[in-house]
Amino acid sequence: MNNILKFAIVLLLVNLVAASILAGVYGITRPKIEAQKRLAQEEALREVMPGSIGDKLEPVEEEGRVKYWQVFKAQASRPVAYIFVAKKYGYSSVIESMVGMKKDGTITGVRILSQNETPGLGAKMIEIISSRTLVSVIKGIFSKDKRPEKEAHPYFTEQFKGLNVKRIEISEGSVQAITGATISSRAVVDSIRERGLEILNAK
Amino acid sequence: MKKLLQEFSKGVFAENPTFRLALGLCPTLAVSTSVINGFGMGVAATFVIVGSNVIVSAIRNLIPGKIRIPCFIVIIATFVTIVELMMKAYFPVLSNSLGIFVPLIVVNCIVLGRAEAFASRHGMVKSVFDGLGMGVGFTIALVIISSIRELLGNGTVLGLIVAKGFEPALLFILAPGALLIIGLLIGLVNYVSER
Repeated sequence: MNNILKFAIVLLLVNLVAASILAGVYGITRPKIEAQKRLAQEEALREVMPGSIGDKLEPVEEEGRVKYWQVFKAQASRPVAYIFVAKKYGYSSVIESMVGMKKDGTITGVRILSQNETPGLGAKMIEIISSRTLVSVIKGIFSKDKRPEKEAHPYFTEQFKGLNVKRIEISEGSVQAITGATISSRAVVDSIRERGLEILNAK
Repeated sequence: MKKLLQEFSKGVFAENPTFRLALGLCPTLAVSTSVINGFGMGVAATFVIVGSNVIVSAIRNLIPGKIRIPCFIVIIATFVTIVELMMKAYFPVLSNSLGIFVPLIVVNCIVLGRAEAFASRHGMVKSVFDGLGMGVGFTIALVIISSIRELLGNGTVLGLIVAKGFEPALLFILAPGALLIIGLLIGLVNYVSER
């Protein structure tokens, strides 16, 4: 009986100390973590809708959850564009992408928010082809020419720019699928088309 | 001093957690797809091992033997959560790519293994060196495995293309490739150490 009480008190003390330390660390890191999250979201918005900084974003809600955002230019009463999140099950995971779309359906940008597809196949949808090789980097250390590398975007989602959601499909001239990952590529295209049409038709 | 260095170097060579003890293979398989991931995981695990070793060794005489394991786990989980929060706050990219494997350091058997087998029986200074050695050994193993996998499976080192026109073998990025590489490396280490 005595032992059980002793064990309980020791465990209680250990947990108490651990919990208070964690509470302290959480308090210190929380504002930083939230800032990082905001930064990531702002970056995603900027990427899918270049030139939208300063425009008003208004969330459209349905059943208490944000369905999509309407983008208003200053003083305009009708939205000029929409930003929405499309998701669909791909090959091994739900692929979520953020899409910017003008009111006529033209896509201004696509960014994959989350996916867990096969590395080396479906996961290539977020791959950025680096133009830098090991040799060129080593050469670069010794040369005086220090031009910064221009910002690169994943080649798969780059293809969507300027296409219309009503007509996107996996085909030549529209969106080229990733080699060996037709199912993942199709899931992205289908999810964006379905969601985009839904929003355009809802008006 | 010599004794302390011995505690350190045994984790790197004679008792390397990955190559000699074959501990913690699950996170090794999962994160060693790129050198940056491997190194980040190694550093995070080293911090946890050293931290938990210090605390476990400091309170080893206060904890009744029968409830030592739950106490160790609480201590380890505390350090892992600190690492996770810090990573999210200061290295969001790394934290995204390591994903679930950072919280899973809690159940990494190297950490509990060192707390149970070493820190609960030795002094604090010795435990620090033991933890550092094990952590460095784990990190070195991860970097070796991940550089081979990244080079063969993706054609890059640290995200830089090694040679244009080299067609990477996808197998090495996937789990079977990791098993192959780890098996061959353990074989090589055994072969060398037996001679």
